[in-house]
Amino acid sequence: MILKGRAWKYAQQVRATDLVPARYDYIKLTDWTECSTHVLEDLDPGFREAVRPGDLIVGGPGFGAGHAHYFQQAFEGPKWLGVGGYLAESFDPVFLLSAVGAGMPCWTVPGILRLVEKGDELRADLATGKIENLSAGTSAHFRAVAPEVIEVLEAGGLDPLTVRKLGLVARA
Amino acid sequence: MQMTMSQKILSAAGGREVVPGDVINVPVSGVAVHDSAPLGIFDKYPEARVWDPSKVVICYDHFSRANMAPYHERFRRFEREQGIPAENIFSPGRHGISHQVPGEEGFCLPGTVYAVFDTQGATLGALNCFAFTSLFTTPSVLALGTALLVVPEVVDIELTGRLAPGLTSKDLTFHLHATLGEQLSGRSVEFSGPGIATLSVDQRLGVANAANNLGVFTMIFPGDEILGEYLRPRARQPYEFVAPDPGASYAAKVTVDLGEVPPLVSGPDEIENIRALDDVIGLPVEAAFLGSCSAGRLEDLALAASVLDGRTIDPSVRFVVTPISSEVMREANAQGVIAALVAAGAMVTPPGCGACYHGNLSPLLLTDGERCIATSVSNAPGRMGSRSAEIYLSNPAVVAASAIEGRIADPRPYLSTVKKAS
Repeated sequence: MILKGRAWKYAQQVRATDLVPARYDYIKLTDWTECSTHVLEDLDPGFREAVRPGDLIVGGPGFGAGHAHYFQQAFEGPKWLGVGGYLAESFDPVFLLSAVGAGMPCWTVPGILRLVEKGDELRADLATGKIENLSAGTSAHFRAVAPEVIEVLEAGGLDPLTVRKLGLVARA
Repeated sequence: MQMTMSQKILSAAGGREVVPGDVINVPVSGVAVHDSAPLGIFDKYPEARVWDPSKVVICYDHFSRANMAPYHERFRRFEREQGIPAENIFSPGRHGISHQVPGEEGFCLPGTVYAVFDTQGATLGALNCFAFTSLFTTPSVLALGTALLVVPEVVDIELTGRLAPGLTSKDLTFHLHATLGEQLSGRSVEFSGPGIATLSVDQRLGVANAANNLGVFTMIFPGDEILGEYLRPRARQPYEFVAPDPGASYAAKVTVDLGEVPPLVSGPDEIENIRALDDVIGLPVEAAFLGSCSAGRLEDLALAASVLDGRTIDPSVRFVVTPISSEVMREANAQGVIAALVAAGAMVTPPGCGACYHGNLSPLLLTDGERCIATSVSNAPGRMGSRSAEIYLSNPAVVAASAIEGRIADPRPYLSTVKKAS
């Protein structure tokens, strides 16, 4: 699986409530199109207008941390906006698995903050663990993403994969 | 290979030796869900089946008030369609929080991999197992009986000494957050050392409950006589404790002297806002809450009762107490703890999550500008009602003393006049 897009770099810890502010959980917003209009609303108000499909959010350590109440909006909102994935120095472990389970590509790339500046064009091959900064002409390696994870991401998440594995047919 | 407890449990369940960073599709020994969990594919696909209905535990905890029956319809149908055994369903009367009941009822046992939908699922790691929050991946875990996990790096925390009287797992976890937060973030924690023997199972559950707030995947306590005693009347299967190998490799090893843990609070607004109790003494409070999966256990209730001990709550304070489970409610009732709380002027509600989250039809919704002292898990603005209300988190003794005085108070003067709490 290849992720290709421009980097939106935030060197600090990007918390779940930075991706979509907690106030939209309090009103129980589950309309993901509406949710997508609030992505990074507080942290980077210009993001929503300037982001392009496939763009990648690059963050510091502990990406996605916070109370898991806020996790679903934090990957559904950006996914519906067309964000191609999250790459970070490290992730909150429950956030990482939940996001992968929802079909949002994300993985740990130690050293990514040194490799990438905001706006750089990136290409990450999850299966081989190679990341290229096409703008700077540099590259680095990270631990290749396991085939079990790529299988989930390519299926669009754990639910679609499970449905396929079990051969389920939707309710009429 | 010399292994940590996490490695041993995941390797045994997964059938191959694993190291941190490995991805593993691991069979789980059980799954606990509660009444607000999404059922995903089970709602959409009529022929979807739970892999093993006898391994599923259902807990009515978030919507546990008598008038909440309409909220339960979805789960009633799921239970019928999936053939979940009645003894695995903890409805009002037997109910309790989804990451407490599987331990009390002997479903979740040492050495196992145990999935919990709820955010605070790691709590059950106190029982020497690999307990984790499965969140939105839960429907697939229910259907397949396996979970996709990344084997975590582990920090070994050696506990020495003993907590000062009146301090609990709340103070210890705030201390870990303030002193080791960055080192623990993104990893798992395994405890070792002689200090563990000074912590009851109630306190260990309270410690492991902090995993989500710390950004830690799970926290595992080793097995010992205290845990064996707890499990003896409960365990539904034979089990064996898991211990780390002497040469196991850790991302870091640290020592924490329980005797050096000071009284701490967290708040307002952010869990990281951890402060000395002394810094906030005197702040007026209009609401006090004792309960939640962090601190609604028997020892927590008994500690608060010992502080109250014949005193009355300030008339300006609404003090709500919610036991974590029906078992705790029964035991607290039998020991006179409930009577002491009610005599002091507390409102004791049916067991469950209580006022911790406003979405539970909380019995203690905060209004604009109010301040609350609570033992629960989150102090984020709006968590318990109004976004302009302030939430401070503390141990149960501080909550009880504050309810007496109508302002955040030091419980030590009250504790010194009564018998030791535990």
